[in-house]
Amino acid sequence: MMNILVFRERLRGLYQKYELYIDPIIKFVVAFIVFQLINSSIGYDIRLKKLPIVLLLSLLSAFTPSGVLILLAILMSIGHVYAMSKILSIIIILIVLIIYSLFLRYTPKLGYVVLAIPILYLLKIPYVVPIVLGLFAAPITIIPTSCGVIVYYLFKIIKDAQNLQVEASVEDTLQLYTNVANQLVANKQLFVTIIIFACIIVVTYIVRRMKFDYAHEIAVVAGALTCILGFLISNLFFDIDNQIGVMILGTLVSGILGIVIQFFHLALDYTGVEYVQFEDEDYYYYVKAVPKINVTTPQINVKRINPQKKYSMKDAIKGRNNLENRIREEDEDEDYEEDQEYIDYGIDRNGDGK
Amino acid sequence: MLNNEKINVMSRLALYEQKNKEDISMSKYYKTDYIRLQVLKTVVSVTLGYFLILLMIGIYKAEYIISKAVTLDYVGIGKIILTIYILLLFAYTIITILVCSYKYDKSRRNLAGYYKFLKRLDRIYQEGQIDE
Repeated sequence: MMNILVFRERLRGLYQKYELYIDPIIKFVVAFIVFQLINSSIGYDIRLKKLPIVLLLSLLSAFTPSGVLILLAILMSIGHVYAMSKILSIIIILIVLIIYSLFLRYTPKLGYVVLAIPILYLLKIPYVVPIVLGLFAAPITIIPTSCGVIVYYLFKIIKDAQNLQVEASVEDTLQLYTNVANQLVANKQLFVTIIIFACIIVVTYIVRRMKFDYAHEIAVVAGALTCILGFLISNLFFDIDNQIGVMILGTLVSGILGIVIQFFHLALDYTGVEYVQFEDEDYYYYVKAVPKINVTTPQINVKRINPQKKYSMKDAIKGRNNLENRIREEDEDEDYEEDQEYIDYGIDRNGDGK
Repeated sequence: MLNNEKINVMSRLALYEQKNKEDISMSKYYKTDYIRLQVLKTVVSVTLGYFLILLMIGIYKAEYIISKAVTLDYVGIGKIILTIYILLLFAYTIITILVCSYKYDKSRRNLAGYYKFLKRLDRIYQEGQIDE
């Protein structure tokens, strides 16, 4: 366990140091995976499938806010569907507009959830989204999660409808539209999935708010159990084919992912290095603000057999500071000012010690 | 000469501005004005969404509508559509008012810290003037 904790601290140190480079790289990789998955799943337009275009789009998303990636992914999907059938792409545009104007507009920061669910569905682990949201967010995230499920099923239905499509006369077009609408409205699986995901979010949220040890880990387990139970029940009562084996495996993987994310969350959710620029009447300032966090975990673990030899007061206080620092990390709310005062205090003590 | 305290205060202000753009933009409005603007935006988007839903239902039922175009009870349908619209609008408006007023109050509380640093910066400037 200690090794993992040390690893976490190291990782955090590394991330803090190279945040400026790591962030775009991670975003690039994520964007690349997203675009490739979209291409492999509904790649009807050969032009959009070309590697240079995918790389270019990924590069664009690497250096822009995450909203751009969502927009690009949606546009790409619509482009693919457009290449297959114009009427289907219009349906998608309409539904996306409705979802946006009635639901998503009110939770703008959670737009990525809508993208994450269909993408993770392709990887068979969509359950990780409600579990993680229950862990770190409020039940309001049910709204974007439901939208994500709708989007996934919409594309699934459209993928199926592609097989039905024949020569597009006006009547056929109408027929196609009615078909898709029928399947979407009468899709039990869609509604059951929305309800189960909502349950997972609520259960995980309630358990992690409880005040006992390991509440977060237990919350993940509770969420995973809710998921498995929910889909099993839906299988029994609604006669929906869910591929139970895949679902249980996916849930287990999702649960493990949830615990891993929970473990690293405290380490990565810190106030990172910030760059600001401003000016007064005399100067331009380009300020790099580095939060004061000592990343020297290994020092805590050093066992000195002969402490009287060279064990200065300074080391003792340093070790104490580290310990206190780690306790402070548990407190998610890290404030620059508080850190400053804290460190000052530490230095004073140091002076006294000498 | 560089004034370290001033740089410190200014950095904090800049950091806050960078992180909480929404708070700053919100502070330009009175509470009622802010809520009114948000409600207006909500009304527009709900109207758009509702219209699109109606459009989709309309196309879905197109065959039925065309075949019964003469005998259809337009007044009855219109009443239902309007009632649902008004209910929808009402619900969204209430939620928007509640959420926005909460958000506004919260941003005001956050801004209190920001104003503290602004005052400190002001004091630094005034002291500088006295020195000169």
